[in-house]
Amino acid sequence: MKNAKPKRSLWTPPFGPAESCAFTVLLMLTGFALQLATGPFSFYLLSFPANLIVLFVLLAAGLPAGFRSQSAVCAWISGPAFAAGLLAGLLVLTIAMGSILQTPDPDKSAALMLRLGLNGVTTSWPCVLLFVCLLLVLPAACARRVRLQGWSALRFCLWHAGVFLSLAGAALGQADRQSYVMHVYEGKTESRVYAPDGTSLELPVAITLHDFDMEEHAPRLVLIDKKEGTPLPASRPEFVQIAPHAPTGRLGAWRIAVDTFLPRAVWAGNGEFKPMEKPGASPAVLVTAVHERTGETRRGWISSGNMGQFQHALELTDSIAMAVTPATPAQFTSDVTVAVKGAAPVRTAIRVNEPLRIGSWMIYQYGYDFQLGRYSDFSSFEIVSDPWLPMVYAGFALLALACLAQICRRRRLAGQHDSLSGDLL
Amino acid sequence: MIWNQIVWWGVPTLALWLAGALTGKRWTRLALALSLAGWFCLGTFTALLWRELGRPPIRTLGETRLLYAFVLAGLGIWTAWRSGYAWLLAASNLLASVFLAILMARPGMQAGPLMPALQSAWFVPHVAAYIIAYAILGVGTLMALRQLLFPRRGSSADTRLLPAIDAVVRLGFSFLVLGMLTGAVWAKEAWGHYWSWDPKETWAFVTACAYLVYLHARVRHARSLAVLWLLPAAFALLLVAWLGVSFIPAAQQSVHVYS
Ligand code: HEM
Repeated sequence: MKNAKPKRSLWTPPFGPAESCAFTVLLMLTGFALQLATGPFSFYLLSFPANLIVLFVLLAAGLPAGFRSQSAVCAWISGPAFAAGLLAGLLVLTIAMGSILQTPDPDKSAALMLRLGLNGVTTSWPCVLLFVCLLLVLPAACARRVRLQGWSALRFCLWHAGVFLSLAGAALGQADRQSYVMHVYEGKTESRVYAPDGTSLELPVAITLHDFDMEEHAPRLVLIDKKEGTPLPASRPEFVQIAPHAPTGRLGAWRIAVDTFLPRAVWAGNGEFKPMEKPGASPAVLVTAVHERTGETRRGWISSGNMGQFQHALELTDSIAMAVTPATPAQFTSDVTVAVKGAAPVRTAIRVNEPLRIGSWMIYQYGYDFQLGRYSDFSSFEIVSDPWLPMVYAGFALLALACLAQICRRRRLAGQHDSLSGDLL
Repeated sequence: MIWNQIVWWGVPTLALWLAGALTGKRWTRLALALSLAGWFCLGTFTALLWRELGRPPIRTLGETRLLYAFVLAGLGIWTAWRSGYAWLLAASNLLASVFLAILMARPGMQAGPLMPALQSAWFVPHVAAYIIAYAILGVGTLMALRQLLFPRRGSSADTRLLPAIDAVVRLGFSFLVLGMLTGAVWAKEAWGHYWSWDPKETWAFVTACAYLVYLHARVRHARSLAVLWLLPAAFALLLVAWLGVSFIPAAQQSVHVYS
């Protein structure tokens, strides 16, 4: 873009980097003007079938443009300089997006920056216009490459068709994506859900919750500064993971042996913890700590406590005590039966990272009663339908192929080969 | 606690790499041998750490920095050996040494237990692809800076170096895209959507966009040097995506901000 010839005046064919830059700037200015005049773009305008029509129009306009060899404009917009200009525009917008908190706020009286849509870049007009151009130009570029190179354009088309399918599927499919949250109580069946705006409605999906369970990681032992309560050593705190296969460890100058570990226990009142399955129980551990040099020995119960019980630490010196970290969740599991209209009910376990796919729905473990933890009597699910997902994933597949093809290409090394056109390294 | 011994492994590694960087110009073979010895030294530490953790060391920022120094130095040695560019060895040794020195000064937090969303088969390929991409693009940036700041023949384009830079950037960009794709599929499994414009995702997009601008601006300008400035700029954005997101006020809600 930087080497526009000063002798040439703008907008005389063949068009090149200078025109591409100018076009992108004009396009974005138009976008900002539209944003000031009308506010953010509403993606719900693109609900089916509008998005399908837009997709068809993009392809119907883009592909022929790439096949027309005579037109200076068509050659320009299907060429690399135009793409570089659009991508640079997108770069500027996304840098703004990454630097400014994204909390769309429709307030008309807000600061100019906000009215320009920089607090909600994805729904701002400049971004929408750039996307439209990208999606128009990608098929044109593919068509032109095929026209010029036939089969040799395959790798190029893998990259660019992959980008087209992913971006088009994501942007146009956004309006058709449905996502709801459903709360189900243990032993109950539910099919009412909440939309993001808080309204409730009935879905053709019914979930029966048989049981909700939460596994926890065993806590870790740590030395703390008694006054501050902060972990030691301050520069890089050390922890000893409590685990059945490693009942001993070292923290600072103390050798530690774990005598008893109770994953769920309550304070019994007589200086002891006892195992107990009930809300408010917390992990407790009986440890013996021996100072390596002095041989001093301390023994006692430690528990991280929770809102049901106090924390117990083991005093080692005047300034140092031993404590345990709170237990952290390892996995959430909902044992459910799911029924969808037109399909047999399925009994399965839904976990984080293990959603259930049934009919056109994906069901995700979403939440539970934080106060009760594993004893939560309800579990909530996110229920998602995304009809354009196959298109996006098809794009991902093409892109992955393109990457692998690029990585596996035979490369000649710079030392062995000396030409500009060669594929060096 | 093998982490506490990092200085015992890191300082010899640093010494060997710096020695390799200094000897590179005269005694290329000696420089390669020294760098390789440093690489094995850090590799041994990495392997011991891996064994102690019982998982690949890719979770915390400290661990990824360690792996980055290791991968970058290895790539530099390999590329320098195959291409005969001794300066590349010096540059990659120095860059890897910077990361290693930062790591020794600030080893960062120890990793806690894995939260449920991170327990996924996609975790390792996702992070591995990004670390490899960052290392390759780091090498590409060094090559671009060599051409821009210390050109071999006056200020003219090095006809051997420029195509090599492009090849390196394309290779690195491919790994970058693989990292994004594995991340997107994983996000769909874990959170129900493949792309949520979380700040880390936004900056990953920014990085990819920057390299795309470079790749497209290069077509038909094979000898233009001005475009090369895009590479250090893109690498700066990459560093924001990797290390800087935790410091951006707009990114405090990110699910990707970790110690
Ligand atoms: C977004 C709109 C894009 C357009 C309009 C576009 C268009 C183009 C054009 C016209 C070229 C030059 C082809 C020639 O030599 O005539 C090119 C090259 C290239 N594009 Fe794109 N591109 C776009 C996005 C992308 C994306 C997102 C990627 C990668 C994910 C990509 C990867 C490449 C690569 C690797 C080349 C170099 C191909 C080669 O020289 O063999 N492009 N692109």
